[in-house]
Amino acid sequence: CDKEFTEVSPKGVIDAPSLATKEGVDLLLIGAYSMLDQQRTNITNDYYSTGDKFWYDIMSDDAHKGGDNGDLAPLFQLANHNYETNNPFIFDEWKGLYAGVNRANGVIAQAALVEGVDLTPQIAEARFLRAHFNFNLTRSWRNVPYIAPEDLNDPNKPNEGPLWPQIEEDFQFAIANLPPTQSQSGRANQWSAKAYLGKVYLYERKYAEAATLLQDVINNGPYALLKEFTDNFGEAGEAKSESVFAIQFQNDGGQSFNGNRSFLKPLAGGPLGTCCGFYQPTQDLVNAYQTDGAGLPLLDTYNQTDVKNDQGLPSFQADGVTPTPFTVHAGPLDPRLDFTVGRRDIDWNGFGRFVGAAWNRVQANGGPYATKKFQYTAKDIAAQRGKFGQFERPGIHYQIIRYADVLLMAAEALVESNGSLPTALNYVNQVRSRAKNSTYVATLPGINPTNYQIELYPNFPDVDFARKAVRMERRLELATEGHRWFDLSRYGADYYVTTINTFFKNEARTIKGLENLVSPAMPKHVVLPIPLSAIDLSNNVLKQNPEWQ
Amino acid sequence: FLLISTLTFAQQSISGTVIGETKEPLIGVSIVVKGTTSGSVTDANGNFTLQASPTDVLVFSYIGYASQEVPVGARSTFAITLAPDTQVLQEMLVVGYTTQSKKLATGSMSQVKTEEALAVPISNAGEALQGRAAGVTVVAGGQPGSTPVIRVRGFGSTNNNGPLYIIDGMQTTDGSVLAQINPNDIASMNVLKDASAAIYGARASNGVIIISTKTGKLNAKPVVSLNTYYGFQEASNIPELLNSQQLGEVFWQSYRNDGVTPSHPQYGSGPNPVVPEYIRGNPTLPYNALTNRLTRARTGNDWLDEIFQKGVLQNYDLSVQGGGQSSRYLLSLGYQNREGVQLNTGFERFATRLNSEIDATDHIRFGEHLSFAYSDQLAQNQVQGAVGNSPLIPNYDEGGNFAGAGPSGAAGLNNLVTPLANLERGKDNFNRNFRFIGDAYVEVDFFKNFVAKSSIGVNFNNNFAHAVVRKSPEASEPVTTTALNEIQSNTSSWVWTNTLRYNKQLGDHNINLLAGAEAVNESLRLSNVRIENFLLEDADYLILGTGSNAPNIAESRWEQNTLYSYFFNADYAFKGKYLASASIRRDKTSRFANGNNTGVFPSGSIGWIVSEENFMKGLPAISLLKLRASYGRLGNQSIPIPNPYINIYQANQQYSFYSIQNGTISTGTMLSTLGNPNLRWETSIQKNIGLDLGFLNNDATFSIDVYNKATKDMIISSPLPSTATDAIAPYINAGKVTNKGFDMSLGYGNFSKTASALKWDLSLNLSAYRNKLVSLNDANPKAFLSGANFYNGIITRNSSGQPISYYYGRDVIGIFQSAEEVAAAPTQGFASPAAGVGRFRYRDVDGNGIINDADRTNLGNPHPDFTYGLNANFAYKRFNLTMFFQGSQGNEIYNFLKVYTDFGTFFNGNRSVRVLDAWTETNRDATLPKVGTGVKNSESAPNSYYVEDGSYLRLKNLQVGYNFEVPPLGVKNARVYLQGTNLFTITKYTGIDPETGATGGSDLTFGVDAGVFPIARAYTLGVNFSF
Repeated sequence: CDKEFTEVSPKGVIDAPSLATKEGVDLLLIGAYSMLDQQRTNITNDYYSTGDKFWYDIMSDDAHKGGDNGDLAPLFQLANHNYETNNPFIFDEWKGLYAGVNRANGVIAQAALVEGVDLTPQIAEARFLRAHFNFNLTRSWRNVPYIAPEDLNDPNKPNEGPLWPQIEEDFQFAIANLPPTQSQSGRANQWSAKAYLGKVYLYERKYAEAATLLQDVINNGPYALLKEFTDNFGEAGEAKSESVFAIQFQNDGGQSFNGNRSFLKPLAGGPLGTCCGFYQPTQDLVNAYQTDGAGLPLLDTYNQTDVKNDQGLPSFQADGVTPTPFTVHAGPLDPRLDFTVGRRDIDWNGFGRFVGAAWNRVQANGGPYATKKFQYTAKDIAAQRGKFGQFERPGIHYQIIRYADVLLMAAEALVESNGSLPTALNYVNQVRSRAKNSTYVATLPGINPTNYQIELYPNFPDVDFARKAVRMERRLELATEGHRWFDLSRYGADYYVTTINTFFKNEARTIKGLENLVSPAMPKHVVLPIPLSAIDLSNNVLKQNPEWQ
Repeated sequence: FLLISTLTFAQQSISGTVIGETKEPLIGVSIVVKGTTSGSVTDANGNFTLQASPTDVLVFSYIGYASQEVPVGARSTFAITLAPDTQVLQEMLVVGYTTQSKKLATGSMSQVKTEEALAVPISNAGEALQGRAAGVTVVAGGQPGSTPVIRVRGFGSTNNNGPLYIIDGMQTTDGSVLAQINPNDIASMNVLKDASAAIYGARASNGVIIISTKTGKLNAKPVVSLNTYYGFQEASNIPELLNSQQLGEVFWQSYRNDGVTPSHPQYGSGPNPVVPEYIRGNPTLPYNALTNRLTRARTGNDWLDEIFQKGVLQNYDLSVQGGGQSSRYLLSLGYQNREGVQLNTGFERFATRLNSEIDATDHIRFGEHLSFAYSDQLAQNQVQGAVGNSPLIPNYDEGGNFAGAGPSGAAGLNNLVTPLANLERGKDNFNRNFRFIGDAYVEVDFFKNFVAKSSIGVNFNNNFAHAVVRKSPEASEPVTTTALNEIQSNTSSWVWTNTLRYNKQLGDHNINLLAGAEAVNESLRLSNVRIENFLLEDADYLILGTGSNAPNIAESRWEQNTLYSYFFNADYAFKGKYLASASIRRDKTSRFANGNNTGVFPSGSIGWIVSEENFMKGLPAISLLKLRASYGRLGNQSIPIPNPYINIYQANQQYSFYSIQNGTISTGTMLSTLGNPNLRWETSIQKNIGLDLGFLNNDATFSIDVYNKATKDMIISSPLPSTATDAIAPYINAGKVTNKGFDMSLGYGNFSKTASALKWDLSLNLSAYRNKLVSLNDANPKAFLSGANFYNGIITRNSSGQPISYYYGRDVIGIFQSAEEVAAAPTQGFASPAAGVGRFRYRDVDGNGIINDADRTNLGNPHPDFTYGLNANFAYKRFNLTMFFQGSQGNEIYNFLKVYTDFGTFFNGNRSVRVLDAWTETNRDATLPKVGTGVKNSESAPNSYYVEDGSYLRLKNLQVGYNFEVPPLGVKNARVYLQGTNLFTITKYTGIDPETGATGGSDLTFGVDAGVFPIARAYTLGVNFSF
């Protein structure tokens, strides 16, 4: 009697034998894609582990933390470069990425148990995902452990260096085994693998290989720039020609588990009464959109004068009745400024006038601006809004790689590998041309019109100029999309240190007292410290990065 | 034959009176003709009449008095005086599956004097063990309805250290069941601490607590009891926080220390901080809830004061017990309502019980214990929010709404929702339990010495929790849509026990044998549904169906586990002084894979009652001398997941679904729990040596037990390395833990001075253990386990050679006084030597001249040197006085709240008054480093500043009572008392309460205080009647 009595089958769950089929592997693969947003159990907060890399932007010169200075202190420390090895954002990001590596490994391990079915395409997708996670680990921490499928029960491995060879190998496998197109828009394909490997080569400074591969994507791949710049951040552009690889966030009527849980970004209050108003663009970024008389960026001098702002002024109709006068900046500006940054008196995503301080959480700390990309637009609100309590979980896709990025990466690879400058120029100009020909943000009645001026570069006279132009173009085109900190750190420690410290100095013109809150950027800041808790949990198998010892 | 005997010995009518030693008549004394079921009971005047023959022997018995046997002989009237049963050691104990005379017991057990313990207005039966059962550590919770943390003899494991509870014929490891037991129904509590628990085998290594409920007596007239109390409770020892001006001055000092010109959104930019008149809104315009939430500043809102209240305590218990010739019963009804000391917290319980036993024939008995309880807990705790919230914020704004900074309103006020608003918004939440526990049994006597018993016990619990997240428009991060969470769970467990007992006295040999088989089945189903967006926020409107958004299943679970066992026990006594006992149990469980799921747990014990030997007869002062020893192997299989031996996958909306095709959401699966096919029982070898002494006719008693409890194959769910999959960590067998210690109790009373008008007694018990994790992983001596991750990292660590859950961090050895001192000290990473002045100086643990993460070390641990309880009773005529002290010595507490109150972790939050003693040029002898605008020098990371002495001595109970009678109403036994609970506490601990448990619920994080709900001071007036 006791034999049967003590055999209790597991309830309400799935055991491994039930998944040893093609369908089981497919289910696990969806589970691996689900880690693209880096949301897993046992992280401190949803928004610490960031699929869209928003808090890396806050570490860069593109964005301030915003909010009360004491609120989200660990993020403030990241912004101010006085974080330490126990920063919980750094630990949660690490954990989110390793969950992704292990989910992808789980697909590969499970596929090996299924006999008689060719699961190579599934394995290729899983290896693509694993490469994505390992790439993010490597570019953030450089020295990270490699976890293989067979390490499921013993994942405590030393961190002996970057994982470039393993990342390359996974992407090569994906290129060789993925179909050129997939019927489901979220899946990796051969071309997205090529674009991603090109990006990896760029980080490895293998510029020639990067140029070749990225040009293959440009010349032979299925991608094209969207007509309208802003469609990249709204319903119209999702899963369309410019999307190379994206996190396909999806809202739903409930808790929006599949929406973007980095819910710090939406406006504080504003037209939708949203929370929480962190992640505010910097004056430095706004200044970068200034153009000269020829519609070209002020590559070296953009920060000598500030684009006019309303820092310290009351909001438009602060009392609900009386308008407060403000005159918008009159100088020439790249139209992408107003696709990217919400500023006083300019229409904010179709909701009308950006009223100023009342839409900023704490203007004195975070400045007078708000982001526009990945924020709801008036026309998409029904399709994309998702909520959880006071927090927004939008269903706006995050573009891990979009085609404009591919063009600019190809241009950079050509410049750095002494390749064809005219081709690089052509790629940069394609990006500028789309911006120029997009529909500009319409001036609201009674407001002085903004002087939008953007033109194509006539030529790249030399490599130095081309490098500056390409780097500036990346910033202008891809601002607040989670690339800037990585770009600064791969441009080199000197570049990073100079840029950040100059930014801290200039930005203090707008954020009073900033100079007293920040610590100077140092060469160690181009790489994150291995999280102290990760070292502790490894029983010291993991070693701290040398810069951080 | 029956006819002949009646004819031969004619019965006669006899009568008499039974009185107590103070000549008072005793009512309800049972008089039975020995060997028969015929008898009688005394009436209200202590008189009785019955029929008996001259050869009969009458047995007089009465609760609390020694039984007397009187031959009838030729007499027809009797005057009997019953003596109180002061022979505590003659008590019967409820032990595994049977009862045993305490005198002949060889195991180490602690009994609670229930009449004493239950005189305190406790809510949870677990509280009765605190300080009253040697060897048992209890950390009570202040939250009304919460379950105390109970540990028997230290921490045997890093996993689950809760004991097994036997409540009559039901058993469970779920301690929360105690919340639904009416303590007033409890007759006895016995804790099996050593190998004597081995009869419970696989679940016994953390000790077994046997709770038996009351029942009536045969031939006893109904006794009706009404026990009531009413009172109130309040918080005490509330830590002091800064007022608005003081906080502003700390800001100004912080800015100056950091070289910044002082300027704050609320306090202005002047040379001194100025508390503003308004913190939000434009005072020149009228209040408008949407555009102008005008809010006055407070000169200092003491939020800790605002969240506390006087809570009313009420309790009413009504019971009737008695028995006829062939049945006995208890029926009880109890109602308890406790308001917590925090606003909108409380616990309400209605419990009813029916216990009865029926002699169907001379040899067959049926019986049952049935208890139904309904309880509702409203649990909230805003201590952490109250210490952190700005003192500038008032309770309400000028429009009478809750005050707050608003989404883009007022800067410099932090982002907390006020604790008052949180407590108010949660006031309609509930957590209801409908619990039915009980058992039914049949017992058959046969072949003279055999008793067979079959018993079925059940535990059905229906839990229904309802929690609303309400809109908070005043908040800086406002909730804009209402959300409702409802959790329903259903526990249904049963245990079927069949035993056969054999008792025989053969000359000098007394033999008790027990054999049994038992099946346990426990199952749980749970669903947690959340829905958002409700048209109305009215509590009467909020049910799941009225929400607009699609529902989410936040959690759903179904778990089942079973256990099947055989057991055997033999007790043997020779000449009533040489004792031996042995037991063995074989368990088979569903929790482990085949091959590892069967375990055998043997134990044995011996005893010698030396005082029964002839050579001791010359020492009349020594009334008892008994030596005991036991040895046994016990198991622990408590694991919070049902199938730990296999990998479990889940389709999880939240973590494994993905929109692979734009616009739709696809199902995905993830590995959710890692399994371990090799998992097996954690076993502990428990050794115990005990000595019981009685002097002066047992007026003085002393008892000591010394033990060694060694646990191996400890079941651990260690946090996985951070590079692991995101599944729940597997449970593994690893490591050895030892707990060595002693339990001691000492008592003295003038029990034998029966003529003395003043009766008094004192008892002291003391428990001490040394906990050591001997080894964690034989392959890696440096391996360690980390506790939970807190705001600034992991605080506790577990490693070989150290006690479980020791605090790990940097060791503060002072504050740097000068740049020269900084320059001469090991490098701490300051930008310049001057920058280090006024900052913590850390010990260079590894001596390499650099202070970094490698300089963390053991900073202390939460294990007390000893815990103790002291009880004193005095009775003079009708008055009596009871005092009960309880304490803990030598334990350390990690005061985690200092992260918020002592450092600028959240700059605009409030601080403790301790920061007034921060280092400045003129206050060099400071306890805290310089204040600043942010955290510097890793000072908020785990370090020794947070570790405090957690010793305390607490007057748990002081009661003054008066006994009286109300003859016109037939009330012979009435009592009124005044009682104070937790009247004072002597402690150096600076947190809100030194009685702090395991934050995060894990023993790996024991001793970290993250803002406990404090234990209340209570005053009650009680009235008891019985007739």
